[in-house]
Amino acid sequence: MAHRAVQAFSNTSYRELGAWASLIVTGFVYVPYFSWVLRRFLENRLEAGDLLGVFLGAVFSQIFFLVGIHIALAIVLKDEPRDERDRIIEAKSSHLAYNILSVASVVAAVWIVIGSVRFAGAPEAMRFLHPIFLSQVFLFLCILAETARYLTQGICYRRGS
Amino acid sequence: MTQQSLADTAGVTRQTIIAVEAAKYSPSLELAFRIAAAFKKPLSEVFQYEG
Repeated sequence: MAHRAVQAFSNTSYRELGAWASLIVTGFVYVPYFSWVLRRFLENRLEAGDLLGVFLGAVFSQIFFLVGIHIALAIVLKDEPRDERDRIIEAKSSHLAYNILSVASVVAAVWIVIGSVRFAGAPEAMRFLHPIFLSQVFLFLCILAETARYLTQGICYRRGS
Repeated sequence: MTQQSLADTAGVTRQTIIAVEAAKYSPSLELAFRIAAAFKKPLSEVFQYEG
């Protein structure tokens, strides 16, 4: 069983493992981050000072884990130049991520406008239009697109492109 | 011929050769010709289309 595990690992490319690692790190960092943001937003306690600190912590955590994991993978596995399969998978995943980002941006924009109109004149309207809230919506969309990209890469490598 | 030597000759990664063998990836025409050339066989002997 150990032999099979070693063989499976050696049959996995650096780029595939990198994609899975990036996906896991992104989830590990940003699920708690956006949970905290959502909780603070619902409690009407989302403030710039706290948010900036937590955001910087998330970014530095992501960088730390990603760099560490990629260095470890590069040491264990041989990083080879991208071949045609790598380029096709990268193009497919980027294409999907772009489509998700485009659609989600439109949905978010409509949702924000509807929310502000729905609560027009009410204090709640300002919550939907507050720059801090909007910044987190757009950040979420970017992270969603990146997550889709990593997931698509991992699936394409594993199941075939 | 090992997978690695075939990959080196064809100019791709060993994992791509594994994917081609497992029918998880259809190589481009250029790559298919390079693989066939590595085996010194005609293309039709190395690849068959099962539509």
